[in-house]
Formats: sequence, structure tokens, C-alpha cells
Amino acid sequence: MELIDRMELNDLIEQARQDNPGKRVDCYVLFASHTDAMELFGLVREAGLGARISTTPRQARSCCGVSLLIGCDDAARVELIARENGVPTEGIVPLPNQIDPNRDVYC
Amino acid sequence: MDKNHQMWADLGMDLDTHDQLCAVLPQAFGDVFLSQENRPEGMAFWDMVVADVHGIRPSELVEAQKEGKKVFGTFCTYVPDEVVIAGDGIVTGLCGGSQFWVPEGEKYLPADMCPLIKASLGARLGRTCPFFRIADQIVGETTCDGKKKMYEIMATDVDMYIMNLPNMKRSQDVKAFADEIALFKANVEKVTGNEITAEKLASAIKVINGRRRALARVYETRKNAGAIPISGTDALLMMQIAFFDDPVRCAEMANKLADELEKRVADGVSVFPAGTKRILLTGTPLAIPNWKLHHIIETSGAAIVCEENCTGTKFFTNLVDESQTTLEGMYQALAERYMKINCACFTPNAARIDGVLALAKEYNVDGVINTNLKFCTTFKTEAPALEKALEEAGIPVLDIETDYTDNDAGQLRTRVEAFVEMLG
Repeated sequence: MELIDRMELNDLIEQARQDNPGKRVDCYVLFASHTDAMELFGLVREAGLGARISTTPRQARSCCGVSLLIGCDDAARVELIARENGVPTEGIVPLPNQIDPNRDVYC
Repeated sequence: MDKNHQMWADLGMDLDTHDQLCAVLPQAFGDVFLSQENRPEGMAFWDMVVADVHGIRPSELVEAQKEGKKVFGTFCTYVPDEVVIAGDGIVTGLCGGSQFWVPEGEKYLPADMCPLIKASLGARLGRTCPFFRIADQIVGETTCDGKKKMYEIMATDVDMYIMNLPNMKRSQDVKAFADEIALFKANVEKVTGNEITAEKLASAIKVINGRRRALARVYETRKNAGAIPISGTDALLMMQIAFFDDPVRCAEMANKLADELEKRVADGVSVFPAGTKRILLTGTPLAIPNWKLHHIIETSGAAIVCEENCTGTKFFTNLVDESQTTLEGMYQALAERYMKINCACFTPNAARIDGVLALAKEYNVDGVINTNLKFCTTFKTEAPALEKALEEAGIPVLDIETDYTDNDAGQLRTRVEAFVEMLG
């Protein structure tokens, strides 16, 4: 798997928080394959952490695909779980909250 | 080029235009599904499928085709999947639930035609749906006039087979549909090159009945008068994906979800606060990714506990008789089951009214929302009779006509909120 530099990840999360004051920042774990996403989802849930299978936001990557939505406070632990269990990931991307149930924009 | 884009390019898709759909799907999915609290864990499977809806299943179908399997694309719940499965073929749903495909369809069809039909043609001719590109044959059926005329245009671009669905339900009509199923069997044999024997059709009937039983188990948990273990929006997603998924896997995943929901009911776990008003939604189908009405209703203080439509109960209600041993007996058994679906294309269609009244009772609903896609003449025409029957039964009803656009979302929200408030 591609190792994610812990300091770099923390810096990215901190930067996203500074760039989006007053907004929640979420983290999206990216994958090359949906089976990897589902495997890590199961492992993360077993570890008692919150996680949801998600579409990959456009801001994170410009193609349709499966990602794992996690709290950024758990990002380091999730990254460790992935590494310990040999689940390949393609990075963790922090983004300001993408979810707005009142937007009423459908597709 | 990533794996998905390579596959779409190989399928001859218009990548630039299709990419516009990829750009809007994640936001809509997040707003509608990830904004919900306390969703069942089992929904992760359907979240995964929809997160890469034009990648995961299409790539499975492409791989199956490489092994010689044939894929049949279908629009409607009247096409008997059993026959395709018996011929070692694969059934897939098609695209038709997004405004994204409508403008392309309007290049060929009148604007005053239902959005499902316009979107279906737009998705095929615009080359922006992998399922439409993969299907070796598209199977239509003579349900509504709009679809029948649309097929004539689509047939200029792709191999189509049309099943003649009678529009009455007399015994001779059921017999006529049994004969039509026999013709469809011959077509499937021709396309696949595989003989369909009585043993193979009997086995396929069991497979599809298994899927029906599994989906019905999920719905059964929604009848619970107290805790509502799953949102209508999540149940809708499960149903929408059922049209595309392998039927055995679909049954397996739905059964797993039902296990979780049954435990939730036993433990009193609900996704809505106590006292949330319970709604039965009836009317026209809600093809993926049409989540607009469900989302509006469920973020306006109500919960949908049942969908009486083709992406709901009509898909799984009534099993095919499994006791038949001859092909002729099975054709008749299939015809009897499929002709029990109460579509507005039938005349008379009083059984739909009786069915909605029965479901309203079974699912303990506080009110019914009757919806039809704009320009769906048949459902629109029978709406007053249905609504009169509901009112006479003391069941409040709201009539909604909408399409795939976002323009009326605010107005719909106001109307739904007022209706929910009126329910007390």
C-alpha cells in the first residue's frame, strides 16, 4: 500500500480546518477498488470507529468511485488499521462538510 | 485512464457528457443518504453499489459477456426474469431516473411525455449509460403508449424485443400472456444459444421467488407500528438496485438486511423519532437515481413505510407457483403471477385501489401520497378514483405530480409539510 505520511496527513487536516472556519471537516479514504473499501469499512467498524461508505466527492477525485467517509480525528487510526491489515488505499483527503440535506439539488 | 473510464470508452460511451453525471452524483448521494442518522449497517452494501453504480455492476456484466453470457436490458416489472435466467442469460435494469438524460430524449420525443421515457431514450441514444451499451438485447413490453412509441425509435439503434402485454386481465388475457412468455422463451434461446428446459425454468422460478421472499422480508419489518427500522429512502435504494443486481446476491444481501431490521424491531430501534407520521407512497415508478420525493417527504417530518409501485411492492408481491413440471404449466404460472401486478395501463384497474387500501392498513399508515410522473396519463387518470376510495376509508391523501427537475422542490416541501401537519 502507499504509505501516508502521518505528519503530512495531520497538516492537510489542519490546513482544511483553517481554510474552512466554522465548518466541520470530514476525511475521505480513497481506494483503487470497491472491495478494498468494503474490507476497510468492516475493519474500522469492528474497531468501534464511525465510518460510512460514500461516493467519492468530486473535490477529492475526478471520477466516480467508492470511498470511506470518516471523522478526521480518526484518520490516523484508520490509516494504521489499513496498514496493519494490508488494505491498499490511495490517500486520505480532508474536505469541508459536503453534506447538506436541505440543498434540494438532485441528479 | 482509470479502469472505469477505459471500460466506458470501450463501450463507446460519450465520456465527456457522462462525466457531468459523475460530477453531480456524489453530492446528491451525500445529501440524501449520508445525512441520515442511525442507518442500518447493512446499507453499506447498497451504498457501495450506488457509489460506483456505473462501474461495479457494469464491469461484472462485461466480464460475463467475455465468458459468452448474454445480457438482457429491461424497463419493467412485467418482463419475466425467470425466462432469461433459465437461458443462462443475465437481466439488468436500464437508466431512466435522472433529469440528466431527459434533454437528449427530448431531441426525439415530444416534451409532453413522461420523464422516465424521455430519460430512457436519452440515455441510450446519448451513449451515457453503460447498461444500455452493454445489453445484447433490450426487452420492452406494451405497457403504456409512450413507451411503445419510444421503442420504435430506440429500435433504430439497438436490437429490441417487445413483449405484448395484454391490457385487460380476463382469463383469455392471462392465457395470451402465457403464450407471449413462450415466444419470449424462444427469443431468449435464440439470443443465448441455450436451450431452456423445464428443469432450468423451474430452477429459475425458485431463484426469482427467493429474491421476492427476501425483499418482502425487508418490507415486512416496515409494517411494525412502533419503531421504523429503516428509512423509506434506504428501502427505495435497495429496491432500485434489485433491478440491476444478480438475483441470488440480491436475495442474500436483502436477507442479511432483514435479519438486522428484525433485530432492530425487537429492540425498538427506529430511524425516526417516536410519533413520526407514517406514509404510504403509491403511483409511478422511481427509477434510480430518482430520490427527490422520498428525501423531501422524509425531511419534512414524515416516514415512508411502504412504496406501492414498480420499485416497491409490485416487484416482489405474489410468488410464481413452483409446483408446475412442464414448460406450458410454468408459462401459465408465470403469466398468472405477472398479470397480478396492478399497473395503470390495465383497464379496469380496480384491484390497485383494493391493494392500496389493504397496504395502508397492513403498514399502519397515517396518510397516503399518490404521485405520478408528469405526463403519465394512465396513472393521472385513475388518481381521482383512488383518492376518492382512500378518503371514503378515512385515509388522508395528497396528490403530487412531479418530474425529475429540482424546480418544484421548494413547492413540494411546502405541500408535504402542510400535509404532515394536517395528519396531527
